[in-house]
Amino acid sequence: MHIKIDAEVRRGLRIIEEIPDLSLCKIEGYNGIGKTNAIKLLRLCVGDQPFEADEAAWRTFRSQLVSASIEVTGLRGANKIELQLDPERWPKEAESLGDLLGTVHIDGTSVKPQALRSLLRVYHIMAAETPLSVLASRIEASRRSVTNWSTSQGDRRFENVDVGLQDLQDLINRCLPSQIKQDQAIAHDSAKLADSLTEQLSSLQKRAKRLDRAVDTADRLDQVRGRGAEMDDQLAELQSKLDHIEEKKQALDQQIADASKRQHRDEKAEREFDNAQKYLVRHDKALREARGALDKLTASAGVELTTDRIAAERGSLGSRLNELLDLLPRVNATPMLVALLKGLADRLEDAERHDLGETVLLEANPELSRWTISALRGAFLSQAELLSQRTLSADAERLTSEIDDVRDRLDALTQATGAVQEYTKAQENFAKAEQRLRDAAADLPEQTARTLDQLIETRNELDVEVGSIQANHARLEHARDLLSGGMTEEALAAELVRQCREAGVEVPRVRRSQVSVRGDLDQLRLRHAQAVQQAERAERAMAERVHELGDVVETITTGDEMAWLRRAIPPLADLLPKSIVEQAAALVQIDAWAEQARNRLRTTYSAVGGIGTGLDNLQERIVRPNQPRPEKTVWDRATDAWLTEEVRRWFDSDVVRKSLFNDAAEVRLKPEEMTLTWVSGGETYERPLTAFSSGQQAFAYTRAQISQIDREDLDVPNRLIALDEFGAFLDHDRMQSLVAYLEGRVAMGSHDQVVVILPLEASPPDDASTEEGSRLVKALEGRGYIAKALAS
Amino acid sequence: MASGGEQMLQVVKEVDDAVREAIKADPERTDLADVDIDLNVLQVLAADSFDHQAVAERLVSRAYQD
Repeated sequence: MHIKIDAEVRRGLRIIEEIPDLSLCKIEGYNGIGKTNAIKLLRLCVGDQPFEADEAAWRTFRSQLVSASIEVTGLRGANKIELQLDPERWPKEAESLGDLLGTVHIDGTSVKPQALRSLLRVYHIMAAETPLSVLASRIEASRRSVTNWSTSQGDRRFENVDVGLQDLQDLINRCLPSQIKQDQAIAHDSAKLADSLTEQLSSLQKRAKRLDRAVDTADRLDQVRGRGAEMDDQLAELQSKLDHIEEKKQALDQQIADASKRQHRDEKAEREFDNAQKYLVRHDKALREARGALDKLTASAGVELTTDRIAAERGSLGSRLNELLDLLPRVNATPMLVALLKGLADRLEDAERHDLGETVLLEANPELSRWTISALRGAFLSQAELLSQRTLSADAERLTSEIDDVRDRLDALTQATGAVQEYTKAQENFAKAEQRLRDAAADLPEQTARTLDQLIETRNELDVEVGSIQANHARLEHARDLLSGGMTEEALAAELVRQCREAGVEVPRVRRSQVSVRGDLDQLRLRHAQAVQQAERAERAMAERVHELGDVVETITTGDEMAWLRRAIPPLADLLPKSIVEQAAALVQIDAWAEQARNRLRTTYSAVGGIGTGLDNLQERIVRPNQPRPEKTVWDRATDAWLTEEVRRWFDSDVVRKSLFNDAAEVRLKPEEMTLTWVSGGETYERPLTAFSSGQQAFAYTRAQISQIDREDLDVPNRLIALDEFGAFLDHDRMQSLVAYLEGRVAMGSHDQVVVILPLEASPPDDASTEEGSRLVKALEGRGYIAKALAS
Repeated sequence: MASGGEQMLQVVKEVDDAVREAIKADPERTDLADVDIDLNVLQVLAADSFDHQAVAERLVSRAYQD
């Protein structure tokens, strides 16, 4: 490459104007002539910032360079590069110039300054540095690359990705898919338990009714036992009295008839009397039957049956029946109300868990107090507790029983009304018959009539007596029916045995069994109510869970914001029509994959941080080698391995190994002590990096730097490598070794252009008499430096 | 000049390569076994045109395929 620089400068800045097209070139010149500045300017042109660690030098350079034109020819991959620099636009801070560099043309075509990097690179190797300082710079540059990226982009990007994955997990776990099977099982088991308890309750209720009937039969049997015969005797005695009176009445009727025949004066009157008498007997019988029926009903109703009393009693019972019927739904609804209150309290508790306890749910208005969520929940629970303490089922049964009883009594009163009417009618008919007989008797002779009056009077007295006996008979018969249900003692005993067999209990244990079953029934009713509530709650919770899960599945399978997830997991596209359990299992799996993804992200990103810290620790060890160190982390060991490999490559050259390490096969770094080890002639050598002489260091450093350059940017067709300030460090032999090394590189096919920059060795050149010497003298006088080929 | 992401990736890759070389040279060595760097993930994380969903997609896809 041939490089021409035309710079306009001020206040003392100088820049040499030409670098000749020599693959190995030596530039010697006076100090301050601008050799190094030329290299720095070229580095700026290819995108580097050589003043990065020296802001003051940058400010000076920028302010003193007014403008510059640079032309590069003899290139590989292009004919000419032309640059027109505009330092006025350059940034004040020492940073990359980018588009602010100026205008750039490659073969006449304007390009962006960045395009130069793919065509040309410039390297500046300063021999004043030691291998250790180069290592430190290398470590620092690497550390900066890692940490700068982490702080400027990495942390934020890591956070964005991690939060995105966490959002996915939050979305999934909102519907708790891992619990769906458990919730389903709970709902199923709760429903099954409620059904089972319903069956048990029904069965136990039937048994309780059977036992109730058996105990009732046993009670009646106990009452009847020993009293039945006595009551039958009394009934027989009363019947006997009635029969006896009846006989007396028949005898009186005969006497009346006979008297009528003996005293009869008028055939017509006699016939009329006879008919009247028969008429009386007929209505007498009807009256007795009506009275008997009424007496029975009176005994049954327990009150004296009159039309007014019956009407009053019916009114009273009707009101009572209405009251009981009103009460029944409320008593039966209590378990439902308790469940409702507890359900509402549960929902309010959910709100409390979200810190809404003190939030006003119902605003105060003229008809309503102000209610907070917590206060409302407390009120619901108190009311549920109050209702739960009542023996709900027992109340309902007592109410039903009382309603049945009132209805029976109303039926009896309805029948009694008819009986009273019939009895009243029979009394009227009887009174008419009696009057007719008296009228017929009036047509009979006086004595006969008087006798007949007495006979009729006697007969009426017997009727009154019959009424009284008949009433007693009816009451006694009713009492016996109440006791035995119209059954005999033997029939009751047989019925009791049958009922006990049906109820599965022995007769002697029937009452204890009833008590026991009643207790079991109360407990079972309570458990049943609780189980039904639990089943309803579980079903409601399951329904909510299914609904939430459906929402999540829909979002994942159809939402635009989840398209990336469907691309990552293609089978998700088929998830929507699957069963709830399959969907839940899929969500659990996605959650697990998201967790794995987050773990991998954390591991990967923590590796970046770990390497940054490792490089930091490594540099600290180089700068302060004697400080105590904490135990090494895995990333300290990884960066040690990196440094070891780096140094190994530095010295991976026959020339270097021959010159510095007695032709050793391999040179290795021990990063703990910063020492180099090598084996030569079967003997192991070890030496700290700092123990090499200046010449050795400069040579090793130069070799190391070139080795580094050789590893990088091999695809760039044009590279300029400037080796600066070597004169102070390399003696003649080392310089010869370096030149041999550089010539070896050229021989190996390297296309790099190497420029060794040296201070002027002699002023003027030793031999100005030759043509070459004369040219050099002229160059030195004109430009202050000379350039020539470097050769061993 | 290479972007910040490329520079970081270059360093991390060098460290990863060095660790592999060290283990290859001494298979008995266990003190580097925990070094686990997913360069593919890091590449999308450090790409100039960063898209957090693209990174998440790569990570979840990898978990799904594993």
